[in-house]
Amino acid sequence: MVNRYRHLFCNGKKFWILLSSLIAIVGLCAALHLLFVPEDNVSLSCSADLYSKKPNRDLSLGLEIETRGELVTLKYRFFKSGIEKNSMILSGKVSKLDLTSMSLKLELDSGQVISNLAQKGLSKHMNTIVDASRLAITNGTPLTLGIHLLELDEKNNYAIIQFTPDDGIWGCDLKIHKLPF
Amino acid sequence: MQIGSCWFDINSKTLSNLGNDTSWKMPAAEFSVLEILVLQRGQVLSREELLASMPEGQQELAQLILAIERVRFYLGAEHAELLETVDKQGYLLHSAPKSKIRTTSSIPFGSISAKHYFIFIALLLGLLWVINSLFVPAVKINSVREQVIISHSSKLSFYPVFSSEEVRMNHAIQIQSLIQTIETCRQVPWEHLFLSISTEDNLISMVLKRGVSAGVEVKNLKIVPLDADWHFIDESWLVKVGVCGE
Repeated sequence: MVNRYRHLFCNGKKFWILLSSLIAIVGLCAALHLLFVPEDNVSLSCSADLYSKKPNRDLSLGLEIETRGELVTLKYRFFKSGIEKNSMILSGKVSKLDLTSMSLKLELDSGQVISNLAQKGLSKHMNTIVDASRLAITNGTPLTLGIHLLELDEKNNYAIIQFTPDDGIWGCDLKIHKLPF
Repeated sequence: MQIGSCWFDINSKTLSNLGNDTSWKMPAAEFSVLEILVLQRGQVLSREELLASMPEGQQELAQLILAIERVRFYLGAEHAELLETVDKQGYLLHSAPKSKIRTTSSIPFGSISAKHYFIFIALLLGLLWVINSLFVPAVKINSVREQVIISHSSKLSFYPVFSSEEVRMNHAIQIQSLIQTIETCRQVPWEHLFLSISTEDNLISMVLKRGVSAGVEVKNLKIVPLDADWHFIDESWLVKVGVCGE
């Protein structure tokens, strides 16, 4: 006896199997992306010669920015004759990532100053930086900074960044730590 | 009239199987159903139309279904599909048999087995993973507007970077003076110069960039201006800090 419903049954079963497969593939990709594709950990390492009217003064600055997920650490270092005199470490989180303008917004809510014991005090430049950071953080609100990517070249491992709101620019060595899939 | 391997003779109301040389003198119900299907071959006839063609007293759905099944049985397994049930519409007598090859669209796995199906899916996922891991391009961004400074022997791309137009305007004279000073340099060993002024501590930031054999070299300068007009930045000063060559 011919199964008059076989045609309907076969077509319906075929449709649901294909649809289920498609949904399973898309769901698996999405789940893997969310669980295992990390936000890349980024390290920026920058150094600058500090000059005034007398360009032979051996002063330099170092800046290191490291992100791990949404956490960020900024380390600002002051050197004289190649020896680190003071440094300031600010920590916080990346509160916003804007891919359209290629900019990050950082909220730094803690910091510490590390000073060489032989150093009598902070340099004028470091004092300015530390005071500005201290004022913001001790008021109970995070210090808000923006980093805008002016130039990024993964192949040559460098990036040129601009801080906002103060417009300071840095050319930095770039390291992006991508975890394997 | 040929139906598969059978011959339908309307005049004698007989369906003859040419394959096994048998004949079936069709009852009234089966004949009337087959006759109307043959006369409108290739068209879908509704159950109501088929019931209306059947003899009075036999116009019941169960009788119609039985008649259809008996005709299919006589046509044989090979040609029974010529008489197709069309879902929710009725019945259709085809002129020619459908292809014997069952396609994927007609049964769940079609011509491929379940094992092959899942292997295909696994290969597809593997291919997606390979593409994602191997072909993610390196990112290159350059979003700053370029000006060109021509010195005696080289060309320098200059990028003044200001987030505020007011700051840019306030330092327009100083920047123009800097450009003119660079233009007087005998040599500029750099290809790109980025310039900005930190509003908080009035610090001039310069980023110099050039291509080298190993890739790209970048140098940062932080300059504390001692006068508002930047008069201390002259050619000798630029040579001492490395912006200009000797």
